[in-house]
Amino acid sequence: MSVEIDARGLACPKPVILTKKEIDKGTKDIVTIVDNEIAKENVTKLISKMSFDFDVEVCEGDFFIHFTTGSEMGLEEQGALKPEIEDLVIYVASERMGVGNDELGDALMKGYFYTLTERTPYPKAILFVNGGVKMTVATSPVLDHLRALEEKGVEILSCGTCLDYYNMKDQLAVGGVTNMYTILDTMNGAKKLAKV
Amino acid sequence: MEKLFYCLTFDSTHYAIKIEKRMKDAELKGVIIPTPREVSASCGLSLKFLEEDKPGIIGLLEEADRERVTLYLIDRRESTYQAEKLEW
Repeated sequence: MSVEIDARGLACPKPVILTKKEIDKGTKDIVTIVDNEIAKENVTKLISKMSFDFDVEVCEGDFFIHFTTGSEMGLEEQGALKPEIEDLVIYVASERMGVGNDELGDALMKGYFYTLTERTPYPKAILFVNGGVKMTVATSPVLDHLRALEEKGVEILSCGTCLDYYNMKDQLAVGGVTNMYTILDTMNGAKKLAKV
Repeated sequence: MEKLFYCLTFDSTHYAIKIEKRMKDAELKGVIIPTPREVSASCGLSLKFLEEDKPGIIGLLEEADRERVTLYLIDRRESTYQAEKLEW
């Protein structure tokens, strides 16, 4: 027997909250009924986020969202569907974000790395060269963010030549040291490359 | 990732940077973050901190800041994120 949640006529985020409550109760088969596209999107987003399969049936302008919780998908399959890491390499070539004002550039850099920790999929690697290596040493203002990313499986690599030039070789506080061969291979081998 | 945290928003980027400096000088823990999407207000930079640092960070603000700074409690424990405006 499936449980029906009639969320027609309810304002956002009510349909999502009701659906979530039913999932949390441990109900197996659920049908959420909504009467508009946005509510349908929001509810199916929640279901996808929880890695459950769903079907949407449209009937006289109403959307019937059928889904089963605790689906049989293995962990590996779930991982394949929602990769935590994408084939993206981020290349950090300076200690600030953008050119114009240093104080602002520092603040933007902190905001950038914080946001990276919040967004999935994560990049597969972040390369730090020249002034960028100041982000991976003990005095870095974004050390906590980089450590959080490393924990998620993001490879953090600093240019050894650059650390040496700035006399910071013994101050590296996150990730590993790399050389131009690896930097080149990592950049050229990536599907996507973003420069900061 | 913290699911429940405080956030100060500012009426200008300059002001956000200024308060962050005060916070650093006072050796308080807080991080500059882009203003969370749940809060549709003010400038793009905010200051995020946790309960234990709240008294210290609020203590850095002056009466004159009252119109320029807003305090929010950001709650991401549910799938629908919420932001509650608080008095300080």
